[in-house]
Order: sequence, then structure tokens, then C-alpha cells
Amino acid sequence: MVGVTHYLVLSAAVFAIGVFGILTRRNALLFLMSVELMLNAANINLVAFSLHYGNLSGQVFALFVMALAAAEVAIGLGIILVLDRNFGGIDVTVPTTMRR
Amino acid sequence: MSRPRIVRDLNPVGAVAALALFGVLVAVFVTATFPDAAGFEAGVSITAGIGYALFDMADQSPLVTEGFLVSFVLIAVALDAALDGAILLARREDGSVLDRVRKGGEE
Amino acid sequence: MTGAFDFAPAIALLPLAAFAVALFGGNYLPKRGALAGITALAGSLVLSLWALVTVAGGETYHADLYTFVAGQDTLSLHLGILIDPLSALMLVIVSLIALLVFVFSLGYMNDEGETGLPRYYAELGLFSFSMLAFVFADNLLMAFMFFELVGLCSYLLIGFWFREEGPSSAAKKAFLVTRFGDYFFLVGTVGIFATFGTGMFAGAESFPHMAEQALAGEHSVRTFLGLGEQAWFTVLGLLVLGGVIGKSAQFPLHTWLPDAMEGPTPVSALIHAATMVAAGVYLVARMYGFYLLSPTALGVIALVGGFTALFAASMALVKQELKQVLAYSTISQYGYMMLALGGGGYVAAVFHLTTHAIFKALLFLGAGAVIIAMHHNENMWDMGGLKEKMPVTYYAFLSGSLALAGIFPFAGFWSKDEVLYETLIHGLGGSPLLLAGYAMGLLAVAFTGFYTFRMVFLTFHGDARTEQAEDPHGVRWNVKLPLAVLGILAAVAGVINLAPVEKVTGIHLTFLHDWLDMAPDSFGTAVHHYGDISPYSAAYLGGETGTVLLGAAVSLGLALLGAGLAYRLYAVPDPEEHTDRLGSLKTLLMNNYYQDEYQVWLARDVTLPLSRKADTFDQSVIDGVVNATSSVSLFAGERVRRIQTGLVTHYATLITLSLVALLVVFGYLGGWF
Repeated sequence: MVGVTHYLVLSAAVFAIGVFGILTRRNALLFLMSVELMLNAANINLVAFSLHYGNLSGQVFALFVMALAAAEVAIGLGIILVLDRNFGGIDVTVPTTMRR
Repeated sequence: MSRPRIVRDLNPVGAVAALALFGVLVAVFVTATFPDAAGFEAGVSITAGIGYALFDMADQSPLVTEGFLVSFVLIAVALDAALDGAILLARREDGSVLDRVRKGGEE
Repeated sequence: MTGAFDFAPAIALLPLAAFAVALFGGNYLPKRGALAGITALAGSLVLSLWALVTVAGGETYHADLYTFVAGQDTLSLHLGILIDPLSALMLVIVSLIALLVFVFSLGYMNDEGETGLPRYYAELGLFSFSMLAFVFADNLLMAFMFFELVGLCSYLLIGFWFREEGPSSAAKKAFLVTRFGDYFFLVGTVGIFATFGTGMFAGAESFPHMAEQALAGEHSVRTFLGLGEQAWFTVLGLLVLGGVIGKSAQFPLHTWLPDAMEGPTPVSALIHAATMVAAGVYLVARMYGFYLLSPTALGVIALVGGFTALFAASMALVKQELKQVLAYSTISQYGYMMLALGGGGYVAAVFHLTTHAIFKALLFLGAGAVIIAMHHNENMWDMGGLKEKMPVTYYAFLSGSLALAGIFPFAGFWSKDEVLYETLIHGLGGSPLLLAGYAMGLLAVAFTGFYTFRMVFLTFHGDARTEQAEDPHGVRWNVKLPLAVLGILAAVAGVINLAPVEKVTGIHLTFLHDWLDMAPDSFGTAVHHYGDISPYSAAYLGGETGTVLLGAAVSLGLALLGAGLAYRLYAVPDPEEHTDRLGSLKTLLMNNYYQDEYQVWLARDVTLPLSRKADTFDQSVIDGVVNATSSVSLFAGERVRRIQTGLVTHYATLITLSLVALLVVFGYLGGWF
């Protein structure tokens, strides 16, 4: 039977893939996708534990997370547009002017 | 002509970090023990329960334990604000949003 | 009902008011503020006498005036008034002497046309205030505060003629030397507060009482440095004694007092007779119940006192200035008081304090009169033959001298004899240390007789040796009145405690003993209580009467011997410097045993290089450590700064790696694996 551990390992894998993407790639769009992956890894956990404990709240939360992810993507895309406009590209290693 | 390629200039430290995170998480999850799964009541629609929960209609479904109407409205407002913010960020001084896209299409 | 005690704070506050009046309005007042001071001190004297009479009626007074730190479950600091027989007596002495000094100052300062008089009278007022408040202080901290104020005022007054080099340097010396002793006093005060949680002098909550109970094992106190109770009390007593030695000019901190002669003569009278120097001995008498618990501290007091008595008397033998002789005699006489306190003679010490206050004030004021007459020339070799020209001064001075030398039946004889008698019987009772102190005190008696009469004969007898002495400047009533009052007192003040007569004839005459014994039992400051806890026992040579007569005969004989020698050598029309025959010993004595030089050497050649070394150590090692600490963090900061690249990827990597590390650590510690 598929237990909660399996879901957790799956979500860890998805999350690690997201982290991997963020840590190794330089394209801002890929960043955005990786963040989506990580959020959805969290969603897997929420739904898995919702089922595990027989409580509906986890599933409702997963819906909320999706809504927030949509909001985050909207803002993220806006930021990427500004990035492209100000730095002439969407390589995240180029803008370092906020260091100071 | 473009086609997918294997990326070779990966940041090795980042890769190691991500893999290490995965390893640690899995190690923790696999060794953890959980109580037996409770599961949902048989024969009750979960999807309907979610819908009722979102609108605080706890008496409609035995699955609903708490209402989320306020959260639902707040999330709606947040999403709306995020869309407005995205347009604000993307807009240029002259008010056009998609010039680059259009220009790129022309090129 | 209002009684004398309701006005007790005014005893000290009246001179304080005089201080303010003289300071701010002195220039607009007749006599430049002297009258304000005289009025205030007269008021203080009246109130003190009233308090004395009330105490004689069997009442005592103990009240809090002002609590400035109210302790919660711990010690509280406050100002309070304690009037028992001892402090009532001392209040009368201080206010009387101060009043007479104010009157005398009219002649010494105003008539001589000094400038800066408002300042002078303001400082005198503050001085009287400090001393009176010190006397009725009911706890050690208040006593310490006013002890310091007394020191400050004597600094100001000694340096009154601050434009000249001598007075200002003497003032600094007096301040620094007494301050050196006061460091120990301060540490001792803190120690007593830390040990007992109180600094009260009298009552069931007082520290002498608590110490007594602690030694009796009735309740325990906190001791420090790993010492037992007895040893720790000795340490505390000796620390406080440091302040006493500085203030009362005992060896080795006596060097400031002869230099303090640079101040105006009335000030010298006040400092020597009733205030500054008396403060030290009074403090020991005030907390005598505490000292009695520590035989070691008593032994130290007795030995220091006896040694100082002899040591100072020997230096007085060769001095040429009138006031210098008196200065050394003061040191010597306070040595006697310390000897008496250390030897268990509480009453004798208070008795000698009283008579000494009278006759030493008299001698200084007499010297002041002579100095006015001599147009401020103080050298005794320039005087001579003043007897006929200023008879009032002469007879008053003679009365004071007879008292100082301890000639029967003047006041000094009775008190000094009692000091020596108490020391002798307690020494015979099994304390050989006291016998050494007794021997030194006895030898000093002969010296005292000699230098006193050398001074009298050189000043007043023989032929006038200079023109100034042939035509002395006259003095007015305001000089003669204090001299007359004190001259009579110096002759008769001995009647307050004729202990030897009582012992021989059996008639009850020890009034001072009875007086000091009147303190209520709850205060624990009565004489019989001190007798109970005294570590000494008495023994006699040939019975009590025999010892009394023998002691009196020996001390009187020695005094007469010294006086007679002075008479033979100096009571001639044209005396020579016979002390020249002492040769190199005279040089040693004239240079005060090189005490000043050795203290300067201590300061300049020992302390200063040591301080330099400490400074170097501070600059290099201590500051080095501090600087190294800062450079380590600077360096580390410089390194850590490099991880702030501004690249999101790097930050995210760091966050991830830190999360992994945290998870591993928590997992390991929490047993997740």
C-alpha cells in the first residue's frame, strides 16, 4: 500500500529538483519554474497528510497555495520583464547592484 | 534551428547542495514512523467537502471541520493585487506592456 | 512637647546657615560675616548645653533624619542623629571652641586687615557644621561623609592664603595625606556594611552589638577572605583605623599636621583642639565597642599611640617656631589618647580629649596673640620678655602650658595621669605590649614638660631679643576674652574626673565616668558595658591606692624634671640654644626624622616608577588585548564580507547548505535517524 512515506519521498524529490534548478541554472524563467516545483512539493505533502489524518483542511490549503503560486508567478513575470528591460537579459547572475 | 541540449555549465556546489538536501530529507522520512492512516469516510465526496469548506457551509458535509471563507476572500484579493502589481511592473513609461514581445515578433 | 532634642539638627545647621550667609552676603555685613558665625555658634552652644542638660536628666536621643537609600531586604543608607553622653559632651566642646575661635578671629583676622574674610568665615562655618554633624552622626557612612567634609574644610582653611606657596602646598599635603588614610576608612566602611548590613553605632541593630553577638556565637555574620570572625573584625577595625591615623595625625601619617601651621592661627586652634584631629580619636571612641572585641586592633592602637606620643614629643624639643612646638605637642597628646583607647581606658581618653581641647585651643589662641604682638614673627628666638607687656596672654598661656605639661593640679595632669594609670594597670594585668606603650608615654611626659617650658621661657621670660619683642603690638578684648575663658577652664577642668583623689580618699569624684556611664543599656555605649567586654584585666603594684599614688608621683616627677631642666636652661635673661649640644641628633630631630623625605621618596622613587610600569603594562598588554580583539573581528568581518556577492544563486546555495547542516545536527541530536 502507498503510505505517507512514499508521498514524502516524492515531495522531497520534487523539492530537490526545484532546489537543483535554482542552484545550478542562471535563467530567471527557469528560476520561476523551479519555485513552482518547490511549491508543488509542499502541496504534495499537504494533500498526503490531509489523506493520512482524514482532515480536509490540508486539501483546502493546497488550493490556497496554488492560488498564491499564481500570484507569485504573476509578480515574478513582472520582475523578469523589468530585469530584461534594465539589464538586457534574464541572467540572474548579472544584477548584483543590490549588494550595496 | 534550436533543439534541447544538455547544459554543461552547471554550478557544481549547487548541485551537491541540492542532492545533499534530498539525501537528508529522504533519510529522515524513511526512518520516521507514522501512526496508521485514518483516511476519509467512505462514500462522501471530498471535492464537494472542499467546496463547502471554502464557503463556510459546515452543515452540508460531514468532512468539513472548519470554514475558510475569510481566507478565500483574502487570497482572492491577494491574487488580484498580484496581477495589478505584475502589470505595474511590466508597464513602460509610455504605458505599453508588450512592446518587446511585439518587437521580437517582428524581428 | 518640644525638648532640646527637637532642636538637635539645628546644632549643626546653624553654622551651615552662617556659612551660606557669610559666603553670599559676607561683603555687605559688618565684620564680614564674623557676627553671623558668632551668632550661629552661640546658638549651637546654647542648644548643645541644653542637650547636655537633657542628657544629664537621663534622656538620650536617636532619630533618623533622612533616608537616601531605602533598602529592600538589604541595608539602607540614612542620615540620623545619635545623642548620648559622649556625643553631647563632644558637641559642647566643639561648639564652645568654635565659638571662641570665631571671637578670636575678630582680633586675629579683622583687626589685622586681612582680605577675603567672607571666605574665611564661610569656611569656618562649614568646618563647624561638618564637625558637629560628624559628632552626632548615628552611623558609619554619615560619619564618613562628614569626616571627609571636615578634611575638605581643613584643606580650604590651611590654604586660606593660597597666593603664597607655603600654605597652598601645606593644604595639598594635608589633603593628600589624610586622604591616604581615608582610603582605608572607606574600604573599612564598605566592609562593615557588607559584613553587618548596617553602620549604626548604637542600639541592638548596631554593628558593635552584632559583632559582639557573633563572637558569642549567637548569630553569624558574613566574613570575607576566608577569615574567621575574630580575624575579620580585626581587619575591619584596622581599616577604619587607617582613617583615624590619617586624621588624628598618628605615626606614620602625622607629617601633614606640622605643615598645617601655615594656615591662620585660629584655624590651627580649631583643627587641633576640637575638629579635624579630634575627629579621628572621637571615631575610635564612638565605635569603641567594636574595637574592644579585637585585642589585636587595640594593641595596634596602643602601640601607635604610645610611639607617636614619644616620637612627636622628641621632635618638639628642638623646634624654633612657636606654632611648630604646639603642632608636635598636638600629635603627641593625641598619641596619649590613642594609647588610652588602646589600653582600655575609654573614660581616660575622653577625659584627655576634653581637657586637651581646652588647653590646646588656649595655647594656640595664646600663640596667636603672641604672633599678633610680634607682627607675625613666629620664631621664639626673636621673642622674650613678653611677660610684662602682655600679662593676660602670659597667665592664660602659662595655665595652658601647665596643663599641657601635666603639672598638678591643672587639667592636663588629671587626664594624662589617668591615661597612664589605665595603661599601667592593664599592662600589669597581663598585657606586656601596653607596658611598652606605658614606658613610651612616660618618657614623653618628661619631654613634654621640657619643650612646653622651653617654649614658655623663650617666649615670655628673659630679655626682649628683638625690637618687635620690645614693642609688641597690643591685642584687644576679642583676643583676651577667649584666652581668659579658656585659661580658667584649663586650670579647673580636671575636676570633672578626679579619679586618683577618689581612689585615695574614697570621696566620689569621677563625674565624667558617671556621665559616660549614663548611656542607656539599649545603646550599648555605656562604660560598664565596655568594662564587661574589655579583653584586659587589671593588676596593681602595692594595692590600688599604691599604684595610683606611684603612677601620679612618677608622671608628675618626670614632668617636673622636664620643666625644671627647661627652667635651668632657658629661664635666664639671655638663653642659648642648648639643644645644639645634641649634635647630629638635633639635626635628625629638626628634620623630623626625615619622615617627609622618606614619604617623598616613597612617592617619587617607588610609587611613580611603579605607576609608570603599570601604565606601560596597561598600554601594551591590556590595550593590546583589546586592540587584538577588535582586529580579529575586523579581519573576520573582512573575510565574511566576501560571501556577500550579491548573486541570488550563492545566497540560495548557502541557505540550502545551512538547512542541510541544521537538519543533520537536529536530526543527530533529536535521534531522527
